[in-house]
Amino acid sequence: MTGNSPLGIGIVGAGFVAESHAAAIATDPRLGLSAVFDLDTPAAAAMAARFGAARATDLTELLSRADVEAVIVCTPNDTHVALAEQVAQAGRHLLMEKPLALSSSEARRLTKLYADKGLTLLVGHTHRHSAYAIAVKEAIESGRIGTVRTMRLAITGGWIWGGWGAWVLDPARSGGHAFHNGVHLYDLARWWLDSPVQSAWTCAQHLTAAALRIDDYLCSTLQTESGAAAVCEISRGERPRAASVFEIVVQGTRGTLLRTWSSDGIVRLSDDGSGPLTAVGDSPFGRQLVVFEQAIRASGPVAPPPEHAVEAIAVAEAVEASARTGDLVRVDG
Amino acid sequence: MTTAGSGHAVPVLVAGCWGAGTQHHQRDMYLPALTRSPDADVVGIWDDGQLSGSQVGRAKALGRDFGVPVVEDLSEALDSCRAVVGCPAPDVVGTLLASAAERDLPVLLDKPTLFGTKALGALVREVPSATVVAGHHWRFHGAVASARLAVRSGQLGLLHAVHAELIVGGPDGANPLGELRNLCVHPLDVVESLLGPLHGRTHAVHAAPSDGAGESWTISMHLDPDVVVSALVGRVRPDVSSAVHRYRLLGSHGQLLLDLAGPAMSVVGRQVSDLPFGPSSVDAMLAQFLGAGQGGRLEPTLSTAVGLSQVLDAVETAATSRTIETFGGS
Ligand SMILES: NC(=O)c1ccc[n+]([C@@H]2O[C@H](COP(=O)([O-])OP(=O)(O)OC[C@H]3O[C@@H](n4cnc5c(N)ncnc54)[C@H](O)[C@@H]3O)[C@@H](O)[C@H]2O)c1
Repeated sequence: MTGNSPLGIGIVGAGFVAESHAAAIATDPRLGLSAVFDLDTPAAAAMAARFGAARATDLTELLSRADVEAVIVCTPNDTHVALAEQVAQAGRHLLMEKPLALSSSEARRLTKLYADKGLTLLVGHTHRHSAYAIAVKEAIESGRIGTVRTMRLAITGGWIWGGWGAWVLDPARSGGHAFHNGVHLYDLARWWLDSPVQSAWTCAQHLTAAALRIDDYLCSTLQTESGAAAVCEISRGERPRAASVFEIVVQGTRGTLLRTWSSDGIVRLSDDGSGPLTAVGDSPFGRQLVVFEQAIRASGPVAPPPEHAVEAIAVAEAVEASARTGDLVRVDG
Repeated sequence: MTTAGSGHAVPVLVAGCWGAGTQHHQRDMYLPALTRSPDADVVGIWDDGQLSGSQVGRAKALGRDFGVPVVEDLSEALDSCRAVVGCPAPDVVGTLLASAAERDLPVLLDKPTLFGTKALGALVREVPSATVVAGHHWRFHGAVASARLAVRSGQLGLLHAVHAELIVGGPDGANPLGELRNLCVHPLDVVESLLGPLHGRTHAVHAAPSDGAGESWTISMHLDPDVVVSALVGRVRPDVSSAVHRYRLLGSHGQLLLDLAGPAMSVVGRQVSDLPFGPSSVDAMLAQFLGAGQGGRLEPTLSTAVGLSQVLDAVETAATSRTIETFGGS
């Protein structure tokens, strides 16, 4: 990588979320999309053409390109570990979509692998880079609401997961709802409360169909080592299907922070859906890539550190175990 | 206050002026609502005179402030009324309920869960004929009443989750008998009013008072038949006045978002302040209580309060022993 030239990036997996990364790269002169690889050749070709990048015919080709210094992996969750190993073997930095792995032991192993090789590993806990999440963190740190004792984070919406064949519905491929989406919430709670999560109790439901093999509704109460509580609720089974609710309550000794569905300053009520619209100007994917790029250039740390991504996986394991047994489950530190 | 003899107004006795800690619900809630209600005619204030500390002399002060005679003899006081609004001290409640029951008088009893499960159970056993309405006024809030109609008629399909926040501040101060029985009872009573008696399992996290703030409770439940409930309940510092009281009802066919700080308008002036309108939850509760004579229903009953008190016991055990507790015979 030369001084001021853009950081050359390769994308692996040209599906839904890859689009957000590619769009963020396209708007930042510090970054350049060099190549795209997907097992689905037309998908890779379409993305490569749209963003003026090359299409790699296989992963080895993508990883051997001189203009691919860093890789963003946007493939199904069960492919993450093997792909991360290949990227590390090729000596490339990695922005891995969440979840880092489907077990905390594998997540730990990957974290060590990247540290040992001196490579940057950032996990796509994209919410961390949202304006709202940063504002919550800053409000807590400023002391305005005193010591935080409990919080609620609710992200609920309707079905978006495709048909019965969708990989997300296969617990072996996605890890279940706690791994697939829950990790976002567990990571935020751990960050805002500034303390590792110690235990989880989960109520899980199959709302859309009894035959689902993963839960589409999960409500977990986490307790941190500091003693604070966090009720983390995530749903893809609500009606009306196109209504989304996104709420934050953080209760401190001196006051309460509330994020309601009109907090973005814009609410949509239409035939296509109801809920907040994201205010223009906020790009968590863009901010996340800046963190990634700067850490690579400075050989410095990333935020969130990979250790927090490992913690999020450990919480997801406890949440899933609690959902199956109904027990209060300790998080495997 | 409606003047005596103004037609349909029910003669009401205000009985007992007790409150846990600094609580004074007769002064702050019931008498203001009764005196503005066309349905009530407050005929007297009675207290057994045994209140201690700063509560001594409450009956006399109320009589003066609200222009109502203070009656010292309970029998005489009960003979003059057709309904009782009671904030009796724990050692008087039994006598009050028994005496009211002898005369077939309904009693609206403030916050019965503060008496504890054992004492409440004893009351139900010892005075089985008492007609008691537990003063859980938030279930009477217009938004909750409307939500209840929507839920019962299936407008949301079948409920699968209910989530609540009740976070209070202001000068009332921490309740010495504990916010579990003082505050947490409210969201659980609202849930009870939507779903019926609560059966299920609970997890709870308790934060003790600190930094000038009162307690905080994080209650999570999995109720039969498969309804997830959570409630964040707490008291911030007394110099913080803002209150949060909301519910989110998730059903198989739709959702309801309730904000019990409404109905209110915001007045944007030098400071932003609320301008409430319409009947309050206390007004609505009293209207139902006083209308019961015309065929209105009397709920929540003392048995409902006993059931909720048992749920609160389970919540307390869950928090102190860090276990998942079962309640309601599930
Ligand atoms: N950070 C976020 O906010 C966010 C949002 C959505 C998804 N995600 C994560 O991103 C990842 C992708 O999710 P998605 O919704 O974009 O999925 P998707 O199904 O839309 O896309 C996945 C793509 O990967 C391709 N693919 C599968 N296996 C591959 C392999 N071994 N090599 C190359 N390509 C392969 C598929 O052909 C598909 O085009 C998941 O890990 C998901 O958890 C993160």
